Amino acid sequence: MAKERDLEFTKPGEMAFIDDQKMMLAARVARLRTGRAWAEDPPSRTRHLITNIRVTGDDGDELDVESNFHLYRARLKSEEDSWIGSRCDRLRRVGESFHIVKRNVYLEHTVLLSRNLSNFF
Amino acid sequence: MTKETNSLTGERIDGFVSLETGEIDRSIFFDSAVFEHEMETIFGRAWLFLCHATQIPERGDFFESVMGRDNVLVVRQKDGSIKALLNTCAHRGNAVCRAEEGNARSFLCSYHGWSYGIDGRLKGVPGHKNFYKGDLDKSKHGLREVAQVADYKGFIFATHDPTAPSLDDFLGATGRLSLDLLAMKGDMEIVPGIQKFTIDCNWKIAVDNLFDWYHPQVTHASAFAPSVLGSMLGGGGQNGAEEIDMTDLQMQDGADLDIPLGLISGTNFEQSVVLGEYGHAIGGPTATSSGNADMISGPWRDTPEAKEALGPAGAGVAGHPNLFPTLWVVQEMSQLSLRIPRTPDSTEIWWFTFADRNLDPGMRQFSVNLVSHIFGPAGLLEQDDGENWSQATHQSCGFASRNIPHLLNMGLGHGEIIDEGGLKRIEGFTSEHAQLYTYHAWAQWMKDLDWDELKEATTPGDTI
Repeated sequence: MAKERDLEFTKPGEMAFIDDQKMMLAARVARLRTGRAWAEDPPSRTRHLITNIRVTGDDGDELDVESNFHLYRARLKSEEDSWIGSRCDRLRRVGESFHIVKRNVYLEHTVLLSRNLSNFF
Repeated sequence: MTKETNSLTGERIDGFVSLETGEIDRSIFFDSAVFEHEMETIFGRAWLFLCHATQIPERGDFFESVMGRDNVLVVRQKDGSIKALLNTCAHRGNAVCRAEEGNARSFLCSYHGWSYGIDGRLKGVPGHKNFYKGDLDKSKHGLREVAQVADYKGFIFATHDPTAPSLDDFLGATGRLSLDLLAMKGDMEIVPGIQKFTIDCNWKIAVDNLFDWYHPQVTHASAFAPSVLGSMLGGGGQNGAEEIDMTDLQMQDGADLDIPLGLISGTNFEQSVVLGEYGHAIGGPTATSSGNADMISGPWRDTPEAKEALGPAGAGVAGHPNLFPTLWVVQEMSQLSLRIPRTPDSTEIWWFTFADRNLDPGMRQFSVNLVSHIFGPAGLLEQDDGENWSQATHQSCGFASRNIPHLLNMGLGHGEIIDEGGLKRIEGFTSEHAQLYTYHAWAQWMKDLDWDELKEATTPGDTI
């Protein structure tokens, strides 16, 4: 099955769970503010744990940064979800901080065990 | 002519669904005996969708699909035909393939090394000569083939029942129209990446929702808010959270909620419900009320090929079809949503996305983006469905709560069924006819009738 490994993740232009530009990210935020975003009403209690941060490229203006994450979600009375994966970010130096130019998120799941992805990675 | 299995007598099954009152017994959503019985009488007999031909174009290409609790390898053969093989070694049951899709020259069992050709033939058995003394007849121990496999315009289906009628007969006019609403939009091919996720609900709750044009205005209120849909489609209004203060629209003292959010989320538009044999159904807007076109494919219904395939009656249908039991044809987004029952309260959702090969690259990219923004686990619409379905499943289990019927009586008694060219349809506004009829058909399947009786029992009458 070694040759199926390159099928683990789809490629740009193919299907992803989330495939957003800035406009769509803004729509997701606006959705949460409507007071009718039921999947997040009441809001989930989430925590992002970020580890293994590595700067893999730096051209002065922009950096390539890889990290691992554990996104934990507790919801309603007794529901739990966990997503673990890696993030490959392109960051731009802006003043004393960074802006995210691009983010690819790679989840370890193939079949998601959660009933939705109503949160941000 | 009913069999008794798991103490589910025909009489008890008839009591689950009432066409007279529109009431459904909630126990069908959590009773494990019901689930076991479904696995036999429905998922053991019905034609079930496996995958699309464009997912496995080359020799040895395979896709692992699910029929009930059987994992099935759908494999393209040397001669171009397709076989559906149970993914279980003929020796001691181990899976012979652990990839969800790919290309294989053979399937090797990792337990004792039995190997099979892509046609399922047993080729290699370690120790055949020394341990088996040559006594093992390899011709008798290939991978088991599923009883029947067939395709309709590239959509591949299979059934475990060798006595099942042909796929064409099973689909009938309603099933063929359902698939034509996707197939005739162009030269359709799969977009790689089948989205798979799990909702902790009973599969029937997920299925009955697809006909439900009553819920979008409330369930999906956040997605239809101008600031959200507007910015999603590139229309600006990104900071518009304040614009859509909906507090005034909240139900107060039980007053009706009437959110003027336009066509898709409203209920006050012309609808057409189609009911078919074996439990296939379509519910939703007419082509006219939905604008006779869609955002991606344009006015595809006007081509001569589409006109011929849909027929005059089908041309007016633009709602959501369900091919019984579990395939939702999301024709407006060129997607299929397959609901796979895992346990009474766990259902996998698989989204298959299609695109017209002739779409220009920019439009194709737009369509791939759009569908991920609407449906799937992160889709702005579908995000909010799962919790409703989960809660509906779990709240129904309570000792006292289970005695309250699952209610599908909207429009009951007002559905006049018109038969036109073999398509049986009801015209009107939002109703629960399609859901109710699906449960009625479900009960007929559960009675394990023979195929002729089943077809008759699931043929719609004059009214509902």
